[in-house]
Amino acid sequence: MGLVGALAGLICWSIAVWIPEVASVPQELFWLIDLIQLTLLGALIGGLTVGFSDHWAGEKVLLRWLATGTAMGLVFGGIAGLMATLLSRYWVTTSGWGERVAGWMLAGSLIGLGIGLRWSNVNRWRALHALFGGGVGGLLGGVLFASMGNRAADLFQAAGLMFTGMGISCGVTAAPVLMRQGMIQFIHSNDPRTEKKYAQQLKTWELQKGDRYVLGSLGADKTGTLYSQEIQVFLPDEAVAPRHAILTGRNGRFYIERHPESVDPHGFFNYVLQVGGQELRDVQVLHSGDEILIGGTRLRFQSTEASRG
Amino acid sequence: MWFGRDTDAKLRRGIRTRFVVGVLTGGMALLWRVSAQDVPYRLELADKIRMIESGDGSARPFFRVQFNVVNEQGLPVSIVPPKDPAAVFDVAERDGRIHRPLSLHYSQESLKQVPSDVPDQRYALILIDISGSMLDSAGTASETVPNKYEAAKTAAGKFLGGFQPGQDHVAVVAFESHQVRERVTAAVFAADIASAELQLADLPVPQKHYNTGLYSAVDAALDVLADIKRQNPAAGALLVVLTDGQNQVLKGDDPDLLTGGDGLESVVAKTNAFGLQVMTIGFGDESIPLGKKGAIDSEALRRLSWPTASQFHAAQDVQSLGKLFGVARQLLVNRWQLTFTTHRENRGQLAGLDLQFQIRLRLDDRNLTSSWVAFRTPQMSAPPFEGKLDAAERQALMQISENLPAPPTPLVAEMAVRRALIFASFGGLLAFLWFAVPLLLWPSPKKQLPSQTELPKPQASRTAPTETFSASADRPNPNQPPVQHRPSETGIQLEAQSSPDRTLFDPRGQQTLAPKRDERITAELPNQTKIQVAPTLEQPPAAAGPDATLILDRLPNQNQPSQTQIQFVPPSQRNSPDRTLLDPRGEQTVVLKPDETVIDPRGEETLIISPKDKPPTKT
Repeated sequence: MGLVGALAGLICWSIAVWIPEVASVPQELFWLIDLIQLTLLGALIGGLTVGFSDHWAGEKVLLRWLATGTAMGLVFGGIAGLMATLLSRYWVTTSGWGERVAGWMLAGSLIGLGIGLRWSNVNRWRALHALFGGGVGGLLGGVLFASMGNRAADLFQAAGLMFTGMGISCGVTAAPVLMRQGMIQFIHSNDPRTEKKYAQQLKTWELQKGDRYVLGSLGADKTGTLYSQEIQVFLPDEAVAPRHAILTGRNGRFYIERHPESVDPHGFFNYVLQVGGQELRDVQVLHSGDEILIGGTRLRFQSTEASRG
Repeated sequence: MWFGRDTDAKLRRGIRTRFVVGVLTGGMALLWRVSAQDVPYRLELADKIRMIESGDGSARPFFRVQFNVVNEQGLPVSIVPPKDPAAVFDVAERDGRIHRPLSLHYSQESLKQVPSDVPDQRYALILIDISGSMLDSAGTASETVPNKYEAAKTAAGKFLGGFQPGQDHVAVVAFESHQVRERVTAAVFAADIASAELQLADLPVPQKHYNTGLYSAVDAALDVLADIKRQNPAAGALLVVLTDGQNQVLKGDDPDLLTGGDGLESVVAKTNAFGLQVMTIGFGDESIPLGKKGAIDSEALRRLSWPTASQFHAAQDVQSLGKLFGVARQLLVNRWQLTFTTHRENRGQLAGLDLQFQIRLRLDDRNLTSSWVAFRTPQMSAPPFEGKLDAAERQALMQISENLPAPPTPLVAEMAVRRALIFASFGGLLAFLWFAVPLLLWPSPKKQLPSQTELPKPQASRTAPTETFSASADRPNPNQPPVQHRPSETGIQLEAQSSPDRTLFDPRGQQTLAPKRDERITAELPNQTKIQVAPTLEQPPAAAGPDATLILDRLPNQNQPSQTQIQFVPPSQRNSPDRTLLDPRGEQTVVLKPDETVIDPRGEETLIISPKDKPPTKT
């Protein structure tokens, strides 16, 4: 997934590198070149990260989400460009190396923050993960460009942007894997659509402390959200309610409960939700190895902390 | 080296003589009587350093800088230009390299005696404060100069002395606290002295309720001059600001006027970024404390001046004010313009660098130097050019081009090819990382999923069988259409995935092996796991033994062989639904329902068992 950011950086470079060729820019407006470049970088990373992330999550890639991801990246890229300009204006060293590297780092962090906000409803720390990833990527890219750019400007500008993009994308997507404390794994579904969608790829959903996942069959195209997914564990199973269950991580444990919308107003359970073969009636702690039957789909919860299992 | 370092001794003596004569002559031209021997001179920037291109398609960067020779008060000093400037001028770079001038202009004269198709253009924008306080006495009140306003008009007329039509362009703009930006941006540069004098004569009269939008006026004036520099990068530009007080914005003034410390910082940052010469004049008594009547904010005016605070001057009467306008004129006229290049053949070699230059004039008895001048490049790309060499500079370039190492001439097409190659290379690298590396690292990629290797083993107690049944049924299904058979290279029948028999389906290999009853088959799919199926219990197993064995015999370069034993648990004994496929390696356990197919969740193989309609055989 980190390669998506690198791809965005490469595309950004291939466009931005021509700006000095087509325009005679006075020195006082050099900052505009950085601004345009970072805005473009943010937009590309925003759009591509959202698109690929949704695609791999099994969700339908919505144009609306792509546009919003692009817009968020664009806005935060613009902010990053302005901040980097201010930084370079008020922090001046003889060689310019320090403020240049800091500018790259700041830009990567801010774009990462903006894109990471998309997943803040799943985990509020995700934006910070992206910020950190972008900062590290920007640091690497900045060091590369500031140290080697004068030897081969095009080459190292491209490499720097790719590193920055890769850092942002890794921050968004690798943090859940690296920091996961559990996962749910698809086992089997009676619904052929779900089976076809997840069986071969052995679909897993990473869980992390603080995560809040909604499990359901509500397709992306039927949700009204502007930017982020409403259903994080999408199960296109006829026996699964649009919003079926909620899985949350708190205090090192993971809990599952019925989504209020899947419960009849009179308190009857219209949909199957079993943990370990027992019908779920209240909030229940999940133990490692627990099998979750949701509608006609069987999932398994695994905890990386065996002692908690 | 473009110019020979060795200068003929005779020529040096000639230069020396001419310099002394020049200093003496220039000293007489000084508006301030200073002693050339006692006061240290220095070179002071009149415009920031700008990177320009040759205009012949080459990407070699050239640099152009304008400067004055001034004394320590910042007042311009006239010296006679040396005959061979290359011998006495040079540019030092922070890394120790010395660069020789390509060409040097002094006012409209070309020291290289090369023709210029366009005479040097000079642009001056004079801002005059017309706030209410300008109606106060000018110190030496007289009938002709009753107040500061009239004194300013009279003194500003000194700037127009020696006006050169076709070269000089002067705009005089009044500012107070209303329509500040609109008035300044509407400035019209007079190209003849009559028009300039008319602008001065028609200057609006101050009103008591006018305040001082000083910061905004300077801010807008910088924009005006910057526009001119963009259109004509070689032009000389000067901003002269006259005020008798300080920035003062009150209720009823323009709502967007800059004010306070932030406003000042904003304009100071802009003057530094634009790098245009700004001379500020405080008309009043500098000793009056700020806040009292008649005080001038000399600190703010010092900060607004560029390049140094020495371009702030205070005047208390019309005579000294007139002299200061004369000084302003000299700053604009007595300018040197030096063009040079470095060892860098391509502007791309400036990427990621901030350069520091120092202009030096080496004389026998002293060395005049400028402060270090920074040329800052964009943070994330190579710097673009700001303009091209003018005719005189190109001529100079042609004269010395024989000694110039031939720079590469990257045409746009070549540049495009180079960039396309970079794009293709990085794109290929990404594609390799994306597609090929996973295959190289993990021939059986799904086994390497973190979820498969890191998670704890499931609880085995749930699958313990108490009774076993054979799974070796061979049941042709009449409902299925005839299966299309075709021989494989190993002679094994390959069937569609929907085969009613027991089939072993390798989803990666797109092939299905269908063993007959009691048949042992061995197949090796291309680049895949070698698969053996021993479906029948040739030797009856123990009570808790397996019904069938799925042997995963790995290829030589893979892991150790392992076996998967298939066990079915009768409904009466089960503690889990129906049959259970147990992988003794402990990685996965799959629970079957009747009529259900099993997919090995490890993703290595898919074992599809359809014992439908076939009663299990008890062993």
